[in-house]
This record gives sequence, C-alpha cells and structure tokens, in this order.
Amino acid sequence: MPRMNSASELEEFRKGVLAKRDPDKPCIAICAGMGCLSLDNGRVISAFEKEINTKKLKTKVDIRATGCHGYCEKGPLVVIYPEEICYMEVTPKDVPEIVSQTVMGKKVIDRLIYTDPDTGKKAARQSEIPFYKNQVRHIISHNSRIDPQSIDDYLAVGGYAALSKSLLEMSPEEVLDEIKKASLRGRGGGGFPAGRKWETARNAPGKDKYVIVNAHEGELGAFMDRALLSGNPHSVLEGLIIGAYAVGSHQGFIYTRHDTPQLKNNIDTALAQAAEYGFLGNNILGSGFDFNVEVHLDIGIFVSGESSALMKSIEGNPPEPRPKYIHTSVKGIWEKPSVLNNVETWANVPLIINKGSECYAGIGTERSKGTKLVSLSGNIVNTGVAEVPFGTTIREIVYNIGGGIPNEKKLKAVHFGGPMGGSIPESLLDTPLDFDELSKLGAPIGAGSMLVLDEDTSMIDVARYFLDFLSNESCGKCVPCREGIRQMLKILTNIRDGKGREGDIALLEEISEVTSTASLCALGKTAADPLRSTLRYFRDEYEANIAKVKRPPAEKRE
Amino acid sequence: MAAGQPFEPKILGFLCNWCCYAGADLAGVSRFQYPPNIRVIRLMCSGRVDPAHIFRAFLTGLDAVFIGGCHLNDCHYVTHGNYDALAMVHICKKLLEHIGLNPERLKLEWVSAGEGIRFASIMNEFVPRIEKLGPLGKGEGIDEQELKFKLEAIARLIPYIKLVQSERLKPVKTEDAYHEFFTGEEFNRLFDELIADKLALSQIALLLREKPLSIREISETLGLSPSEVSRYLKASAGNQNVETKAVDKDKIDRIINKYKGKPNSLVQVLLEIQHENHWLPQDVLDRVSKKLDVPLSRVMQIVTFHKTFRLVPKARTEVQVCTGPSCYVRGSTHLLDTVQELTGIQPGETDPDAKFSLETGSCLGCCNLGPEIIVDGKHHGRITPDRVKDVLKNIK
Amino acid sequence: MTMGKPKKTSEIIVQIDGKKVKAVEGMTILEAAQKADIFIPTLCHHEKLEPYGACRVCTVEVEVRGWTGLVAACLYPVEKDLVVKTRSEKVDKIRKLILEFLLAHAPNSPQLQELAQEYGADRDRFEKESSFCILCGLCVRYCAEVKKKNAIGYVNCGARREIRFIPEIAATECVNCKECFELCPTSYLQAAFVLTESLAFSKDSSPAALKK
Repeated sequence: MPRMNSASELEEFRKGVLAKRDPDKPCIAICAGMGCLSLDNGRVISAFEKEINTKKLKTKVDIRATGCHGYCEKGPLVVIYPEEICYMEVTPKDVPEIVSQTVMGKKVIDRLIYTDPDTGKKAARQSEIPFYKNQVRHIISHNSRIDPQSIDDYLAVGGYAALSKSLLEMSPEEVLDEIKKASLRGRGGGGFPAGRKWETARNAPGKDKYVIVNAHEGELGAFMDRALLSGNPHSVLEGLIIGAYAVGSHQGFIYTRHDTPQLKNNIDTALAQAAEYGFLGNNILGSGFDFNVEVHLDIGIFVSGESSALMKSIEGNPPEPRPKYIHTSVKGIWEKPSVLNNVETWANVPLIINKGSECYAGIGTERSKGTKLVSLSGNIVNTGVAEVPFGTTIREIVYNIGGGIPNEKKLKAVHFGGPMGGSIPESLLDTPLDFDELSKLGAPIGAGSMLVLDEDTSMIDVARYFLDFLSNESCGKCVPCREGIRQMLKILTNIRDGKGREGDIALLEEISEVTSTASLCALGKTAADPLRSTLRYFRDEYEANIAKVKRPPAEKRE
Repeated sequence: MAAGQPFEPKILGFLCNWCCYAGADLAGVSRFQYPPNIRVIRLMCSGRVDPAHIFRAFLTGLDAVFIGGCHLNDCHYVTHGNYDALAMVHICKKLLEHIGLNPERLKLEWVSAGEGIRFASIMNEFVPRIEKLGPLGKGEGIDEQELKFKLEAIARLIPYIKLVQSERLKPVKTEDAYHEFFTGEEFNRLFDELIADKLALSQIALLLREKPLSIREISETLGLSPSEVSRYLKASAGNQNVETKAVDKDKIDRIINKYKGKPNSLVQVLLEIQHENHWLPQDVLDRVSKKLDVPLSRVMQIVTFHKTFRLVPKARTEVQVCTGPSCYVRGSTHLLDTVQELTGIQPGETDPDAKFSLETGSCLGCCNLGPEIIVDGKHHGRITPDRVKDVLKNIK
Repeated sequence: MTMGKPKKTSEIIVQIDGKKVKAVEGMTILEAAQKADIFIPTLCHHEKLEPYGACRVCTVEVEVRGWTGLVAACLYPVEKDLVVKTRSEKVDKIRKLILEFLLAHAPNSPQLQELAQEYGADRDRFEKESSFCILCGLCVRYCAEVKKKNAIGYVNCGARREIRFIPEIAATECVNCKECFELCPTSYLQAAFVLTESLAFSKDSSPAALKK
C-alpha cells in the first residue's frame, strides 16, 4: 500500500473503499468492547463466524467485531445492518436463529430486542431504544460501525478528511483559531480551554514540543475513554495529528494502561496502519509536516494520570507530580513544552474541523460546548457509556438514558469525578451537565464518571471509600496529602464504626482545608472533596453517627 | 550437668554499684543465706545494661538474668539511668515472650544499699522459680538449635531496637508515666509495628542466608502463616533470596537490549520482563539497573510504588476481586471477605502451595458486571458469595 | 510566567511582608527572602540540594496581578509585582497543622520542637504513629545529588512510603561516609541504617555486636 501524498489521492482512495462496499449488504456488528468481551462475547463472535462459514454466506454477509456500543448492561450486543436491528444479551445458542431469521430472512426476533421494563414496549432499531435515542452521539456513534483493526472502516465513515483539510487547506494558526473559537474544554477533568493550552505551547520557546494523549483513565468508574480509544483509535489519532500541527510538535505520545491488552493491540494496529497509509511519519499527505507517535504504558498508579506525573513517567522516572505553577505547556517532558489532553478531547478535534467551530459551538451551554461522554455505573438500571450534549440535566441522564434505579429504590445521590469529585443530592438533580454549574455545587464533572447511589448507601462510607483509595495511591511526597489523608481516614473510619467523637467533624474540616490548599498537586488538593461534598449535603448523617443515634444499618447491599 | 542430677540454674546478675551491689554485700556480711546460683557483675548503673548483654547471656546458655538497681528516683546519676533499665527490661521481656521463652527469666528489682534482707529474700524466691521453669529453652519445650537461631535473630536486631526505644518507647521519666505506658495498648501496638515485624524479617533473613528456601519451607520452619511470610518478603524487597526456578538470563537480556540506550524505557522493560517471568527477582532488578544505567534506588522506588510489580514468586492462578466504586456499591466488600475466608490469604499474598494469589483491582472498567471476580483473566460477573465457593473450588 | 530571554538576568523587585526586596530572575521566593534576612521556616530545604517542596512548611501567601494563592516559597519563582506574606492566618494554620502531623511521628525532633513552639503546635494532637521518619528526603537527595552514590532511596508510596538503604551499596559506601546522618532531623536514618546492616549485609561485614 503506497503512502498517500495529497488530498486528492486520499479522496480517490476513499471513493475506492466506498465503491467496494455495498450499503445494502447485511453486516453483523458484534460489540467487542471490554464489557461485552467479559460477558464471553468471544464465543458469540466465533459462533457467528462458524455459522456464516457453514451456511456458505461468507461473500454475502460481513461480520465485524466492533468497538464498544455503549449499552454495557445489556451485553453481549449485536447490531444487524443495514436495518440497524439491535439484539441484546445474545448467547451462542441464539446465533443460528439470528442468521437465518434476521440476516437472511429480514425478520425480527422478538425475545432478543429491547423491551421497556415499565411499559413493555419493544424497540427493534438501535435508534429507537431509549438508551440510544436520548443521546446525541457525535463522538461515539461510529463505534458500532467500525472494526478498530481496520483503517478502511474509518475512512469509509469519512475519517482523516479533517486531517487533510487542516494540513493542506489551513495554516497551524487557523487550526488553533478554530479550536479556540469552538471553546473546546479539556474532557479529562480539568475543563481547561484546550485552545489556550495549545497556544501557550505554540508560543513557548524551543524547537522540540510534544503532544500527549492521556489514555490513563485512572478515575474510578470511568470507562468511556477506553471504549472510545479501543473502539475508534483513529478518531483520537487524527485529532492528535491535527493538534500537533497546530502546536508545532513532531513527536506524540500515547500514555495508556498496561492491563488492557486489547486496547494496546488496537492502538498499535492503528498506528501501524496510519503510518502505512501516510498519515504518520514524514511529509504527511504531502504537506511537509512530520509527526511520529510512541506508546507508553503506565504501571497502574492513579497519580500517573496527573499531567506532570505522567510526563515524569514518560521520562522514565517515578510518577511524582510537580506544582502546577510550572506550566507543563511551557516546561513538560524533559523541560520541553508539552500539550497533554484527554482521549475525548482529541477525538473532538476532527469534529470541530469538519463541522466548523460555529456549528460545533451551537451545541451545549454558554461555557461548556459540545457533547460529553459519561460512564453510568453504580445503582442504576442501564450501566454503560453514553454521550450527551452539555446542558442535559442529570435527571434526564439518570432516568431517560440510565433507566432509573433498580429494585424500586429511591435515588440518594449521584457522584461525579471519582475520588477527586463530589456528590449531588436528589434535590439538585435538575442541574444541567456543565463544567461550571457542577463545580459550583462542589461536584465537578471530572472525566465523566457518574456513580449513582441509592437510598441504602451510607455517604460516610462513600467518602471513606474514596479516601481509602487515595491513601494507597498518594505518592507520599508532601506532608499535607500523605498525613492529611492518613488522619482523615482514621477519623472517618471511627465515625463509620460508631466510634466518632465530639469535634471530629470540625477536625475533618480543618484538615481538609489545609490539605486542599497546601498540597503539592491536584491529588492532595482534591482528596478531601468527596468528604467535603458529603459534609455539605449530608451533614446530618455524620452528626447522627457521632451522636450514636440508632440508624438502620446503612451498609451496602449484600 | 550429668543425667539424673537435679537442675541447677545458672543466673547472671548485673548489680549497680551504689545500691544493689552494696545491698548484696550487706546480705553477705550479715550472713543472710541465699542460693549460690547467681554470678554477679558489678556496674556503675543499672542503666548501663544493654539488651546485647542480656541476649548474649542467654545465647551462652545462662538460664536467667537478674538486674538490680537503685529505687526509682533515687538513681545516683542525674540521668536517672534506672528508668532506662526499666524501659529496656519491658522490651526484652516482650521479646522473650515473642520467641516463646518465659519472660520471668529476666528480673528487674530495686534494692537499696541498706536492704540486705530484701536482696536475700528476692534471691530465695527467684532461684527456686527458675528451677521450676527448667533449663533455658528445654523448660519451654524449644529445641536447642531453634532457640539459638531465635536468640541470634534478636541479637542482630539490637542496634535497631535501641534506637527505636530511645525515639519512640520513652515516656516521661516518672513512675506513673512508665507504668501507664508499658502496660498500655499503645506500647503493644508500637512494639508490634516497629519490632515484631522486623524480628520476623530478621529470622527470615537468617534462614535465607544459609540457603534459598520456598515460602512453604520458611513458613513451616518459623511457624508463621504463609501469607505472613509473603507479606514480609514483599516488605523486605532487596533482602531476600527465595528459591525459585532459575531465571532465563538470555531472555531478560534480550528484553533489556531491545530498549537499550533509551533512558526512559525502565518501566517498559520491567513490564515486559514481568510479563515473561511473572515476577521480578532481586537479581533481575540488579541486572536491569546496571544495564540501563539507572540507579538501583530508582528501580526499587518504581517497583515498590504499586502492587503492579510482583516481588514474590507468582502462583499459577491469579484471583482478582474488583473493588472499584461501582462494585463497592454493589457489595464487593462482602465478596472480598468471603474470598479471603475461603482461601485463607489476604490480598497481595499467595497460598502456601503457590496455587493461587489474591489481588484487588480498582475499577477494571467492566462496571456492568459488578461485583465481579476475575480468575486467570476470566470474568465472573454479577457474582454472589455462594457462587464464589464453586468458582474457587474449580481452581482447587 | 517568565519567558526566559537568553542570558541577561534581570533584576526584579518583589514585596515581602511589606518590604521591597531586590531579587534576580530565576530566584525562588525563599532565596529572595533569605537574601533580605527575612525568615521563612523550612524542613526539607538544604542549600546544597535542589528544592523539593515536600514539607510545605515554607508555604506563603502570594498575590500577583489580581491572583492570590498559597505556594511553597522554596519552589515558586519570583516575578514582577509579586507580593508575598510570610505570616498570615491561613499560613499559620497550615504550618501549625503540618507540624502537628509530623510531631505524631517524631515528637522529639529538635527542629520540629523549635517550630512547634512558634506556631503553637500541640505534639499530642494526633495519635503517635509507629514510623518516626518525617520523609523530608534530605538523606535520599543528598546521596543522589551530592555524593552521587544513590545508596538510599524511597520505597512504597502514600502513607507507607519509607526510606530504605540499598544493602549492596550501603555495605561498601556508607561505612566511610555517613554524611547524611547529621542532616536527619530524627534518628530514623540511623535506625534504618542499622536495620539494613543487621538484616542484609553479607556475613563478613556483620556488626561487631555479634562477634562471639
């Protein structure tokens, strides 16, 4: 496959790919995301392959193992195109029937399609299912259509057109301008304007600059970055290359987890294929722009998701963070300007270039533009990955997409941001999903994990859980974080076990104030946030435990 | 001592010059009788007695040690050395207890220069008491070799214990404060955390100095549970010599050479080696440090930073319990308790037959399956404690 | 942010506790304060070592161009129009609590006791911890940066972080050096050393206490 060296070559090639694809040809898209794979989807995939072979349908039907569709609760998921019939909880036993009835016979198998638990209403098409219908899927929609191991699949849905446009029709400054006008804010938790970060790095002195994809996804309960990167690695890669062009960087890094071999495999394949086609390496698409990417694995430490710690890790050092006032966009890896952005942030870039900043900024709220991927988990009916425009209320997400709380329980709180976030009580559920609105309430959106908690949950336990996690993950360098977390954990454990004392709450507040102002990095600074948010909205629980009022056992369900 | 003859205890006495020695002298001059089993060493202050002296006494086969000093607050030196003796004796008694010897073999008494009768009566009580306890070790049913081994393990640790005592186990010098502290919970806790743990390490180190041993052998020899042994080995990374299959040096070198020259490839190298070898023995870490020209202290820091890197031999099967927040909210704590109960080991440890190791994982990303356990990569989701029994049985 | 223009080190005037102080570009607040004889307490700082920023005792209040914050004086670089307060209610509160945290580990450390008096830190506020190292890192950094031997390093992370000697290196290098011992504000460094000596040094170099 000779490298493509111009926009026209790319478009020619794309036309060729599309010409070979018949839009009416049946395609069985089986979700091979992590959630479905753990539900033994591998056997379903082999069953389909065997059945297609046996029935000699190999030339008539495509089988595609795709990325994560998003509706993890109902996996294994299978979508039959072109009708878009979505089957749920598929087992190998269902396979022959699916092939004969639906693929060949064009009939829908009732027992395998979605049934609304309240109304009993059925929905066969993916786009009719409430979980999908109530989303706005700009970033993750392609996941159910493309095989992450096939770059041609990505090209068939219009991939790399944004890259071609940026490199060949726009100057780096123009690209930067578009990103700034689109008000793209970081999706990893910081919400920092990406355009401003890129500009700082661009203007920083020095020839060597780096761009980095933070695919660490250390936030507990977040799995959408993995779904996106593993399912559609090219979308992230394309964004990275465009970003590198705007910043003036020629070397990129993808920093990802070591414990997901499928993810690494998909990334490696994507990089190799992109290089082969001419999207990486020297003189990309004949533009004169050079760019290469290296993959780095982490060692499972939460703190290595923090930008300065991550950069230290890439350097080969232990991941110890540095204070934020040494901006990594000026002095990052090896003291060179480095732009670090989250997977989802990079995936938004081709979207902005393709649609134009004005159109992109038409979705969302005044200060939070575009869509956001959220991971729904906890006490919720529909766990999975969803994409919603900013401005959607939490209530809409939890009930219309998430399906509400199982076992007819009441919702108590929704926790955002994992160990560095906070909880929103039921009374504030009509808050729109927005960086600033949620921050004001003490529950910053973080990377987008939404942990839904029902009425049986003890908020003290939740606060203690996150502190316990952080006590194992803190690097231990600075005193306020290391010692502060240690002491807060002791007190919280005592309160939880009914051994709380007068003055404990005041002491917790005092320690949390020092920890959040004097710590070296964001881990220490936000370590007490779950505690503070539970104190803010659920103070009575703490006081009751200390006053030793007998409460019904507020423990986890067995 | 010939067989058939009654046991005559050999007791060493450290008597302080100003009070107790004078008191013993007075007993002699006044003809107050007491058994002749004690050999006396005179020193200027009871505070001079070092734990090393006490344990050397026991190592040379003496059956009991007596320390006599001035009454509290009457010490002839402004440093109140007798308080130091008191602290030291409390710790030594705990150490003796810890290795299975009767702590009564070490006695501390305050005798003033004029208390001749008191000295004699103390001896008249002490010697028969030791007679009753029997010879050192034999009386408690400890074999001679084992006793020597344990005493030596303590003796090696004494410089450390002294520093710990002077920093941490030193209340204000009043009788009440000392009594309150050394009979309290805090002393027990600090002793366990600071000394008992290191004592186990000392014993393990001594054992492994002779020859490499497996976890099971160590646990049987020392009477520690295998999970404790693996915990100690992990904690002492760098000081162990556990027996395993010989590491394939060529494979290791090939991996190192693949990344050679790249200063930042340390983590990648370690991950790949662990993927091949399943754990990281000390000599592998040394080799990596030399070949990549990275200080060994930095390698150790990275390798101990997180449980990702295994520093004890891995078992055949790995069992992981997800303790992420979604699984937590769905009951993973109860699940973990059940697993611990059924396997008898704690997270981070390996079972005695190296069949399986237990680990917790924080959010493995399959929240739709919570709570779940993963056995050798296979997910068992939405699992209940009863089903856990079946899953684990299948490993056995 | 200072954009380093090549080589000309320019003078910067900052204000510390109301006093105008002349500083040079590239200096930290701590260096500037020391030059002007203004005292800022430190625990993990040493003139021969790169600033570390771990103890946070040197936290000061700063204000520049409308932004206020609490930063570590040993790390934060001076800049134009910087206003620094080395004592304030917030700063004192932070220092007091940090000292109380550390006193739970090393109540007898002379450096800690001296500072505790000034800030009213109560040494018995928290339950005594077993480890009496305060993890200031002076020993590790001294050995790495000055002696370049790396005989001692950190292991584990978070609340379980501790310093540990590398037995092979310590057995040969430390015997004649021990320069780091006097930097240690507690006696933990000594304890760690004798522990390593007794547990891990080879048979031939075991401590004299064992010679029968």
